[in-house]
Amino acid sequence: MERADFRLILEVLARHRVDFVIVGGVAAALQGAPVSTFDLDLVHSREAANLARLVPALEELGSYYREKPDLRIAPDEARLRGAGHHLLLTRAGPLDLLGTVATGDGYAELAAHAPPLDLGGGLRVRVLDLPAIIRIKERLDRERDRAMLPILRRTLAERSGGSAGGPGDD
Amino acid sequence: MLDGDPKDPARSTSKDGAQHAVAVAGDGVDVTLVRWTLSLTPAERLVVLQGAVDAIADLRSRLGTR
Repeated sequence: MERADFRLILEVLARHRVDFVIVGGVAAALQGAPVSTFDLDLVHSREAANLARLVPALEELGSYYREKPDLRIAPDEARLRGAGHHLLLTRAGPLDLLGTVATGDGYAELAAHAPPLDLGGGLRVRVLDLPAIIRIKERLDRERDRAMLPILRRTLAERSGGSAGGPGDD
Repeated sequence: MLDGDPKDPARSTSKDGAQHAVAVAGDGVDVTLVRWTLSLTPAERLVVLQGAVDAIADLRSRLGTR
């Protein structure tokens, strides 16, 4: 089984100059929330030039769709142009590429709320900020997303020096 | 060692009766953990996250589970 290596995936994408935003649990952790996750969720730019950079990066990572692992279907530009979710397995673990998130936003909208963070070793990547992560989690109707909300709100409150301000928190 | 007060999870009482603000907020979140992760740089947070994933993978491997 492939072991998750978040840095390796990010480094390969950055070296290929792929435009993307980290979202989901990894974004929350990088923004300071004490959460753990095995999933690396990224929203990629669906501009043609970016897709032309993204596909070779995914090839280097040995990516294929994990829903049908026996078929080893590799992602291509045509598939990645869509707004849907691409659940991949790479030699550095699972990678979920999202055309859009639950709020309907894609790369262009999310990048405005995703400051580049320095992850050391010359690696700088865009990471969605906590308010935007919370907005997306609130939109999702999954229990695991809702379970994370108190932690995200508390982390945002600690950063802001105020109340967590979420439902039931007053 | 602090004894938790079930009537007020935001406070606890030590053996000598003194009250202290405690780690767990009313929403059940461990605030000390939040403050610790916020004290780290993003690069350090990535190391911590990767370490947690690796540790769980190691445990799974030793247990022979996926």
